[in-house]
This record gives sequence, C-alpha cells and structure tokens, in this order.
Amino acid sequence: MNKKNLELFGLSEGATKEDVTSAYETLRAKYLEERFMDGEVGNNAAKMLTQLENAYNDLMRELSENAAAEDGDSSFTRVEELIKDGDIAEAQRVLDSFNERGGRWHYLQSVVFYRKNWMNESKKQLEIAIQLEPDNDKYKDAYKKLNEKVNYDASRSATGEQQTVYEGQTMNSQQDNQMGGNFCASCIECCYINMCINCLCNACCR
Amino acid sequence: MFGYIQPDSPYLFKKDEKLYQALYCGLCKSIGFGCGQRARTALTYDMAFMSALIHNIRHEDVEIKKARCAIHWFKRRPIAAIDDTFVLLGCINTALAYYKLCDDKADGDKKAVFRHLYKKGLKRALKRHKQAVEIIDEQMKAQAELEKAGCAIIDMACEPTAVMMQRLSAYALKEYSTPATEALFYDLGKWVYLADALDDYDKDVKKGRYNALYNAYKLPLKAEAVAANREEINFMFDSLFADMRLRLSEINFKFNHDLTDNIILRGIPLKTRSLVKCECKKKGVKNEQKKS
Repeated sequence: MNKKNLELFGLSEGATKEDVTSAYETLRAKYLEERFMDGEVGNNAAKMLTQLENAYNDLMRELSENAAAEDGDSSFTRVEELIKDGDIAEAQRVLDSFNERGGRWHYLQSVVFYRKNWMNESKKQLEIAIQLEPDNDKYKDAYKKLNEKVNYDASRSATGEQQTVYEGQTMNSQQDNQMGGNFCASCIECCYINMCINCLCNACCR
Repeated sequence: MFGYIQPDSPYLFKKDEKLYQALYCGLCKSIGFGCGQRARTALTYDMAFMSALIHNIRHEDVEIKKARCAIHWFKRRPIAAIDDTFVLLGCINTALAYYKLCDDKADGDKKAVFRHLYKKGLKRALKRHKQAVEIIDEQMKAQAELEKAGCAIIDMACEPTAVMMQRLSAYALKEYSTPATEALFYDLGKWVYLADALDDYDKDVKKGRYNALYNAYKLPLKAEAVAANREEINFMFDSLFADMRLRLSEINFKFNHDLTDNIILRGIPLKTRSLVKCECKKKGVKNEQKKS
C-alpha cells in the first residue's frame, strides 16, 4: 500500500478497512470544522480535505483489489450481497477492482447504476451485457423491465390514496386538442410590451 | 441554473396561482429577514416551488395575509407569513446564488461581480444554517472538479447537483425525510442540471466552456446533438419523469398538492420538450450553411 497515504491517516502497513475508515472519519470531521476559520488554518484545512478524500479512495481501492484477488469468483456473490444490503458505494468499489469484465460484470454494474438512479448508464451496461451473453434471459428480462419502468403509468398512482388531477407526461406527449389551437397569450403580451417600450423610447429620443 | 422550474400555467388552478404568488412574496420577505435586504434580489420562483413542497411534506401550514411591501406599495398583496422553513430556504437561496456566481467567475463571466451583493447575506446564512451552506459548498466544489476533469458521462456529471438537492432536502425536512422524498429531490436536482446543460449547449460550445451533453455527444450544435441522440435523450428524461411520478405517489402530503403536481407532472416535461425541440433549429442550420 502507498506509504504516504497511510501516514496521512497515522496508520501503518497491515491496516484493515475499518481502521482506515475510522481514521478518515475523525480527521475529516476535524478539518470540516476548521475549514471556515480565517487565514492559513482554513486554507490548509480545505487542502487537507481533498488530500484525505483522494488518499481514502486510493486506499479503499487497493484494499478491495486485494480482497478481490483472494476471493476470485466469490466476488460476484459479494457484490450481489452488497447490493442487497444497500451498500452501493462499496459494491461499486468491488466492481472496479475486477480485471475481467464479462456479461455478469456488466449486468451487476447496471444494477448498481440503477440503484444510484443513473438510468442512462444502467441501460447502456445492460445492453453490453446482453450483447456479450445473448442467450441469458435474466438480462433480457431486466432490460424489458427497465424500459417498462419509464412508462410507469400515472394511472397507477391515481388508483392509490393520493389521487391527483394531473396526469404525468412524457417526452412524446402531444398538446391537447384545444379549441383555438392552443392560442398563446404570452406571445401577444410580449409584442404589446415591446410596442409600449418602443413608443416610450422614441418619445424620449425626440 | 435558476428559472427552469415553471408551472404549466394554462393548467394551473387559480387557487394555486395565488398560493404560488403568496409563497413567492413570503419567501422574499423571509430572505430579507434572514439574510438582509440585498439578498432579496436573488429571489427565484424555484425556491417558492421548493417551499410549497417542503411545507406540505413537513405538514406545516402557511398563514397568508394581505400586506404591502416596498416594491408593491400600491396594492396590498397576499403574502405568506415568515416561518422557520421560509428562512431556511431563504438562506439556501442566498448561498446558491452566491456559489453560482463564484462558479461563473471561474468561467470568466462578467456577471460574477454581483456576488459581492450576496457576501453579507451568505455570512448571515452561515450563522443560521451552517450545515446547509456546507452541503452547498461541498457539492459545488465537487461539481467544479468534475467539470474541470471534463466528465463525459452524463449521469455522473449530474451527480453532485442531484446529491446537493437530496441532502438539502434531508436537512430541511428533518424527521419527515424519507427515501421517497430524497429520491424526488435527487431527481429534481438532476433535472435542473440537465435542463441547464441543454439550454446552454450552444452558448457553452461557442465560449469553450464545459457542458455535460457536449462532452458526451461531441457535436457542435444542439440541434444536431438532439437529432443524433434523440432516443437516448428521450429515455434519459422519460426515466427521470417516471421516477418523479413514482416518488410523488409514495410521499405523504398533509394538504392537497395540486400546485407541486402541476409543476412536476406537467411543467417540467413541458419545459424539457421546449428545450429539446429548440426553436433555434432553422437558424442553426442556416449558420452552418453560411460557414460552409
């Protein structure tokens, strides 16, 4: 492990993840307090915060990589467990430590993105997974569900207790068939105001 | 980043329009009370919308009275009374305006001198709600760093702004904060960032500034980028709208929520469609022809 990073936290070789996390949290709390002080102390604290952040991420990645190398295939199950427990950040870290990235990796990455609400990336990863393993029904099923979720029906919420008078819209929603062709009053208003300003300005210039 | 949250006004009930105005005025007064008179110039309807959402989720009523104010001294207007939630949102509004202008300064925008207007307001906000200002400070810095690194993944570029909104909502709602409210505010933050990127696409490209969509699509005109990636853009926004609808149905409101429903269910998709459609399409094509 990087010695500099370890020294920053006041730890030595062989430190576990828990050690690093607890040291990181105490130091971070300290600098967060100091950050708003005047002068050199505040500046220094802000600098240290970014350093801490980087060092922490580096260390955690290294530790995860070690763990992944030891566990081998069982890492996939670990990611699944982490996702189930809701520890998305840790799941991402374990995924990042993989070297071989097959269909299953892309599928799990897609699930992680989905949980983070990164829909676009989730869809892309799932598409890659399907491309790599076209026969896997699980991926196809997930892809179908993902696309269905987009069309989450507003009527479903309307049947619940909290009925709303407005229906949800999508990017392809059409304007209603309104008499008068959705006449836009604000355009006319804008013209009218322009006209008034024009009149006023001309009156001043003369 | 401000001014994208708008209601679909032809569909807005009169009662909600009045409420919206009253909240807007109440927020303005609260900013004056909490952060000083100068900070009142940063007032936005976006925050009035947030105040409607947060009051309702926190099961707090607002007291509306007719009163005059310095700008509208002629006619008495319905104004919501100052309360803690308004003051908190006022502080957030001031801090956001200040950091936004600081961000502009880094981009070399001349508008940035106005940030001195809010410096004092920020100090007062810091005194009242240090934690909220810290959240904004932290996430704005993270955002700037991502932009500096030239992040080309759209979802990743939205993350800091979205997380900022999520954490601010958790701070404002306190014991009423649930996973559903956090997710809704996350979506709102993400949408605001995307709307901003979409709106400023051509301007950013021209001035050589960072734009998340440009970095992802690498096309010089918004019209081209939208035409080439229509499916992806539609999916991106539709999934966002769908998630907002889902979260909205999970949230426990005290009062009726027609105002916020109008904005989230109609106003936001409407605004997105108008941004994506981009009226400047023909003009852009013409310019392109001239160049060639």
